[in-house]
Amino acid sequence: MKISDFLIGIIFIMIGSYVAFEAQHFPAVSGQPYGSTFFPTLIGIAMVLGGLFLTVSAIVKNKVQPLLIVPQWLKSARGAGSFILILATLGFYMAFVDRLGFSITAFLMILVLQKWMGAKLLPALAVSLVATAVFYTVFSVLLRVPLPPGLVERLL
Amino acid sequence: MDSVLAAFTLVFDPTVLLTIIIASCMGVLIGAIPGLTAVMGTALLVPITFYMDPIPAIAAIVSMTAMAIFAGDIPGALVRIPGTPASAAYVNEAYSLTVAGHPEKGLGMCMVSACIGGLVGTVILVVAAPQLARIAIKFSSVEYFWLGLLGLTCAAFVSSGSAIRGVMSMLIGLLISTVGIDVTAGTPRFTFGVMELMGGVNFIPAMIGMFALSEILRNMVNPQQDRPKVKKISNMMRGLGRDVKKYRFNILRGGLTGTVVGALPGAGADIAAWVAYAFSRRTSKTPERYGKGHLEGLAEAGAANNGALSGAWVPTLVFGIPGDSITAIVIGVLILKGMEPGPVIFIKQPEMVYAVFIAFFGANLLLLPIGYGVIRVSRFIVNVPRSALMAIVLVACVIGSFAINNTIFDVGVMLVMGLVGWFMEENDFPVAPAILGIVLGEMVEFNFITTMIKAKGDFSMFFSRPIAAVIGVITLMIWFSPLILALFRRIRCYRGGRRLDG
Repeated sequence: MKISDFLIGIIFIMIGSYVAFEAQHFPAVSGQPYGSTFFPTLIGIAMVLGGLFLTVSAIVKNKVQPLLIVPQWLKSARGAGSFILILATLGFYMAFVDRLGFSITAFLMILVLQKWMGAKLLPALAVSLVATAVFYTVFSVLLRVPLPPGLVERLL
Repeated sequence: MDSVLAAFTLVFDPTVLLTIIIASCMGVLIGAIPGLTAVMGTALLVPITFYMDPIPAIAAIVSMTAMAIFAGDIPGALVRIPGTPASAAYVNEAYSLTVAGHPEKGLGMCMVSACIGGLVGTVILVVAAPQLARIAIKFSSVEYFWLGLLGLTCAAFVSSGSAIRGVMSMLIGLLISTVGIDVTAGTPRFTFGVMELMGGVNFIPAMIGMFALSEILRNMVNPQQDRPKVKKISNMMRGLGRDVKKYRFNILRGGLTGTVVGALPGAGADIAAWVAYAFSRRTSKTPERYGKGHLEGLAEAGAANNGALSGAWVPTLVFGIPGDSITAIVIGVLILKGMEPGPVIFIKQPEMVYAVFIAFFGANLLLLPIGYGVIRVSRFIVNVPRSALMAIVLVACVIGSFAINNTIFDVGVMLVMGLVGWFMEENDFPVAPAILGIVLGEMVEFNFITTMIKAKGDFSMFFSRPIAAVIGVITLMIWFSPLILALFRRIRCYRGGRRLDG
């Protein structure tokens, strides 16, 4: 998604002023001429200046630019769907992995994504199964990462 | 000498050798499959190295990246899609050769130049790093403040895109680095009451997000192009020796250019290849043949990107300032392994440093046999179905972010940083300066505050030591250079205008 310099500048000005403002509340330490406030304030001010530069030069150039260019992929159901699906599967993982366990959640993730991208059901099932098994073996068994257990893990 | 021998025994341990070979094969796959990059591979390898000893962990990263940068040339030559951004500079050159019916000519040259370029870079690393470390051992907080700032400055101005966007990207990184408990006073900053943010934004999940998730997003939303069919590759050894001999000067110079560019913070293998290619074309006797399947530029740029990999380790090992995005991640690994990068490591753990050097030599020499084998079977790798690949890499991202601290919160960090990285690239903001900002933010701030405490707020302290003063002046000059250049141009314009009037 392409956003015009004018708008990006304004976003930077907003973030920068928030950062600089918020930094003023950090407590000072006696004996330190520059404390925890100094750097965030500097960063905030620099962001505001940079934002101003982008916004003002966009106005000066006076090119009639749309504020927001919606890219081709977002207009197509496929592209926009892919984008949302990736975020959704990650959200699904974060929300359900503690209840379903790693194996089931990862298996579903790989399967759904493959199906969405047009893989055939049987190969997709096989890939999901093998990939999940490999991930589980490498990380949980060999490297001892405490991946969240679920129904499948308890059966193993 | 003892530590060199110790390093050899460390590296030539069967498990370490096996790790190097496995990592090399992984690197070949990552490089040869378009959409997976060397940086992404490094970010995803870290969670695995987390559970290894320091030497195999570092050897794995070194050999994986060396192999991936070379293997990125393969899909570039065969289907005109660079496997990693580092191969983009000469993709037309290599593909033209394939179209003309000689894929083996381009690929063979890619392989040999990558190997020699990497070796040139390694030699420079071995010679330069200990010398620099000898100087750096005397550095105080003042020098480190300026070095950190110089690193950030380089990253902002050298990386691709406009300077203002580079600076803005750096600011984003610096802002992220301030999150969490402040290094000097212990104040929580920008944590919004979230306990998990007290220790700061976790670096590894952030890297996985910015380099792996953003790449998946880009790959999935863009419709897949039809790829040309890849034909069988004939014997590439024929004529290779003659070509290499003919362009030996270009290969060596490419390796040198690459190493220097790689050592600059923020500029990695991709920029090194572009610089070397442009340089080669400018000094060539036959610039008109470039871009049409001419080996000269390909040899020089193909050597440069592998040279850059080694070059990037020079500032990383000596000063703790990463030379590119890969070494930015490496710094995180070194610290996790108790090998704080900096000159002290050359004295306290010289065998570790030598082991890194040996790993570099080994990885670059391994390029020839593994490269030869992989080119023969490359047409099968290039055509791996994308649907399976992206789904599997996404799960690897999730596990990788989880495995460092074993918390789901880090998966969220990965998601948010992935969106940030994707959004930045979409809007032409280079990502490398942001990474350097995250890595160096704390170093710059800490050394600034400590210097100020020592100096009781007197700014002249920053120029009180000779080396600090020199680095400081260079840094300030880079910052003011756009202003000075603009002024210079204005004056020239004005004079030119007057002459016209007269």
